[in-house]
Amino acid sequence: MAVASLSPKGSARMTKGERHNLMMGLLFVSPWILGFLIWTLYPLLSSVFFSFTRYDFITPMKFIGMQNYVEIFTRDPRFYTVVYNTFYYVGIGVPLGVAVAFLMANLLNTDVKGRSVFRAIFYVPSIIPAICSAMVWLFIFNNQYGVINNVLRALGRPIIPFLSNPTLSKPSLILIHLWAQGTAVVIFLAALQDVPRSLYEAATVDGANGWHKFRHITIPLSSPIIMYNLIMGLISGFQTFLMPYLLTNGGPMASTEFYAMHLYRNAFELFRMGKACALAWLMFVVLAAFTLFIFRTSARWVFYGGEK
Amino acid sequence: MEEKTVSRRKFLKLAGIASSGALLAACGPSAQQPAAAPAAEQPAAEQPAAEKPVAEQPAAPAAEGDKTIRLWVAWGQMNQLFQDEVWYQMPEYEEICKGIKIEYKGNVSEANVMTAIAAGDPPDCGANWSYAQLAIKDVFIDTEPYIQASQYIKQENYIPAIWDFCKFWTFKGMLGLPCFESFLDYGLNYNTELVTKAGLDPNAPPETWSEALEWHKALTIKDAAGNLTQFGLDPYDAMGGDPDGMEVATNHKYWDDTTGKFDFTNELFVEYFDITSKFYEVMGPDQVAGLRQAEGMGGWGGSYNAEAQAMIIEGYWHTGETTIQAPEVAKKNAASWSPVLDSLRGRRVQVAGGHTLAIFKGAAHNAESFKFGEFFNTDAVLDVMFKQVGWILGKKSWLETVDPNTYPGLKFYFDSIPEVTDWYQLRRCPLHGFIWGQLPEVRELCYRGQITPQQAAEEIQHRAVTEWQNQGLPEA
Repeated sequence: MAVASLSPKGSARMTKGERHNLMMGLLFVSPWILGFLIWTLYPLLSSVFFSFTRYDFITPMKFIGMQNYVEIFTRDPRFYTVVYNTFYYVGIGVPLGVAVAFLMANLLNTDVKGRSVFRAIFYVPSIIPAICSAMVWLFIFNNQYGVINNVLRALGRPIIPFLSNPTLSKPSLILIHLWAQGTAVVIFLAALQDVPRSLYEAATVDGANGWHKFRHITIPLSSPIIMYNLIMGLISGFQTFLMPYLLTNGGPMASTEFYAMHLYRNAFELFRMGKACALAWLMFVVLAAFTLFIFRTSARWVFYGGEK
Repeated sequence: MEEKTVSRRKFLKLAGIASSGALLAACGPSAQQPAAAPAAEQPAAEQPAAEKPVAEQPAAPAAEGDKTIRLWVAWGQMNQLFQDEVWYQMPEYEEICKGIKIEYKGNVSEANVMTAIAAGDPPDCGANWSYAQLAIKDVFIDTEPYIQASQYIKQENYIPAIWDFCKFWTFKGMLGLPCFESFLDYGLNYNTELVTKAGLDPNAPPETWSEALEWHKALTIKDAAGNLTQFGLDPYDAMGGDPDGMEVATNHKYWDDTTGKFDFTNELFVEYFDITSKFYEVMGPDQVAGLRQAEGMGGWGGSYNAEAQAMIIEGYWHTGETTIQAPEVAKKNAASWSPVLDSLRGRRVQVAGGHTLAIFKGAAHNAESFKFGEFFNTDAVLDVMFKQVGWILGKKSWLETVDPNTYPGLKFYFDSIPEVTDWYQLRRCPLHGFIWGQLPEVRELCYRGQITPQQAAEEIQHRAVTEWQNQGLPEA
C-alpha cells in the first residue's frame, strides 16, 4: 500500500510530519503532474474520441463511429501508398541504420589515430538542424546543381536522378538517414567501451580471430543497446516526416509520401482532425505491435550480463 | 524591533493563492477584448442597409480611443510596406481609418487561421486563403450591408468578374470586398530573348496547346549527355500548379458551382492530360522533378526568373513582381493569351479575381476592418501597391490612371479585357485545396506513362467525389 510504505514504522496511519512531507512532495511535483494531465493525458484521450468524429476545428464535432477507420482502409486513395512507402523505409532503413551505426562505433572504438576527431565528425550530422541538412543534401543530390551530378555532367555522363525518380527516391532518403546516425554511434560506443577487455584477452588465448571475437563477444554484449537503438529507430522511422517533406514534399509520384506526412496533410491541410487522429492511433497500434514483438523475441537474442 | 518573517508554510500558502489567482485570470476573458466590444459591433454587419453602420460613423472608433485591427495574410510581399507603416502618413487613412491601428501579420498559413478561429480568437480580417473552403465553415461575415452604406465601395466601379469573385456558392451574400490584388490571372508570359534565340517569332506567340508544344520543343535545350539545361514550358507550373489552369486550357469547369458536381471525366480534360503529358516526354520526367526541387516550379515563377523556363502561365502580377524581383529578366518579358486546346482555337479564356478582404465572424472589429478595406481601395493605396509590389485591383476608375506599359507584358492584360470570350473566377470549389494537393501525383502518373489520360481524369474525379463524401460536404 502506497501510504503505508511512506511510513518508516510500516504503519498504515501517517504521522502529522509524514502527511506534511507527503503534501510538500505532491506540491512540488504538482507542476509536472498538472502538465502531464493537461498537456499529455487529456489530448491523448481526446484524440481517441476525436478519431470517432468528424471534426475540422470550427464546425461542430459530429460523432461518426468507425467511419474514419473504414474510410482509411477503403476510401483513402493514398493510404496504401503511404503504408508501402513507410514500411519500405522502416524495413530497409532502420536495420541498415543500426548496422551502420554499430559498425562505425566499432571502427571508432579501435586505437585509430585522431579517434576523437572522427567521433566528432560522425556525431556532427546529428546536431545539425534538419533544414540545413536538407538543403545540403538537396544540393548534393539535385539533378541540375547537385555536386554529384555536376561531376557526371562534366564527364559527359548522364545524371543520376536521386530524388527525382520514383525508384531512386526512397533509397536516396535511406542514404541520408544512414548519414545521420551520430547519436546511435555514440550510444554504441559507450556500450562497446563497457565490454570487459578480459573477455577479448581470454578469447585471444583460446585462439579466436577478430571475427570470432566480434561475433561471440562484441555483438552479444552490445545486444541490449542494439535492441534499444532498433526500437528508437523503429519509432523515428515510422514518424519520418521532416527530410522527405523538405526534400521532395512527397514526390515524385508520391514515392516519398510517408505515413506521418499523410497524417499531417489530413490534419493541417485538409483540417480533418478526426481522420488524422484515427491515422495516429493506427500508427500507435502498429508501433506498439512491433515494439512488443521485439521485446517478446528479445529473450532469444539479447544478452543481459551472462543470462539470456 | 520585531522581525517580520514569512514561514515556509506561509510562503507556500501565499504562493498557492497567487498561482490560483493567476490561473483563473489567465482563463478569464482578455482585458483587451471585453465581451461587450464585439457584441456591440458584430450586429453592424447584419444590420439593414438603412442603418448605414459604417461609412457614416467614422468618428465613433476615435471617440473610444484607438482600436487595433488584426490583419493576417498569407503573402509576404506586403511585409515591408506594413513594417514601414506607410499608411499612417496618408491623408486618406486619416479620413477613413481615423483611430484605427493595424497589427499586420504576413506569411500566415491557413492552419494558423483555423487554429485561431477554433480558439475563439480569430484575426479581424485577412486574405489569400482558400476562401471557398473557409466560407463553407461559416467563418466570414456578409459585407453586403457595409457595402450598401459605403461611400467608397461601389459595385459599378469594379470589373464585374472581379466583383463577382466575392460571391461563393458556399456563402450567402458578399464575402469581403475586392482588395490587395484582384485582376486578370491567366496569360502566357514568355522570355522574348530566349524565344528569338530559338528562332521563334516573339510577335506570334502560340494560341493552342499544340502550338505551345512546338515552342516548347524549340526552347528546350539538353546537353550532350541528355541533361536538361533549359526548357520551354512546364504546363503544371501554371499559376503555381493551380487546378484552375485546366479550366482555362479547356474552357470547362472541373466543378460546377450551380450543381456542386465534379466533371473531370469529360473529353476536354482527357485531351488536356494527353497534350500536356507530351511536354514532359520532351523534357524527361526525372529532369523535371529535379528542376522542381531547385528552380521553384510550382512556386510562383522561380524557374522563369532564373531563365531556366522560357515561358510561364501566370497572371498580370507576374509582370510587376518579376520587375521588382528580377528586373533583368522582366525587361525581356512579353505576354499573350493562355493557350487553349486546338478544338477551342479562337476562344479567349480569362480568369478574374483572386482576392478579397475577408472579415471574420466573432472578431472584435468588423466595422473597422471594413473601413480598412475601404482605405485599401483608395487610389492612393492602389498606386503604392502597384508601384511597390506590382499588384493591381480591378477598380475601373483607378485602372484608367494606370500606365499599362509600366511593366513589360502588362499591356496585354489591360488590352485583353474587351476581347475575353469566356470569364472564369478563381478557386470556387470548397475542395480546391484538396484537388491542388492530389493533382500533381495524378498528372505525374499520367506523364510517366503509369496511367492513361482517360484513367488520370477518372482517378482525379474519383478522389474528388470520394473526398467530398468523406468530408460530409453538402449537396448543392
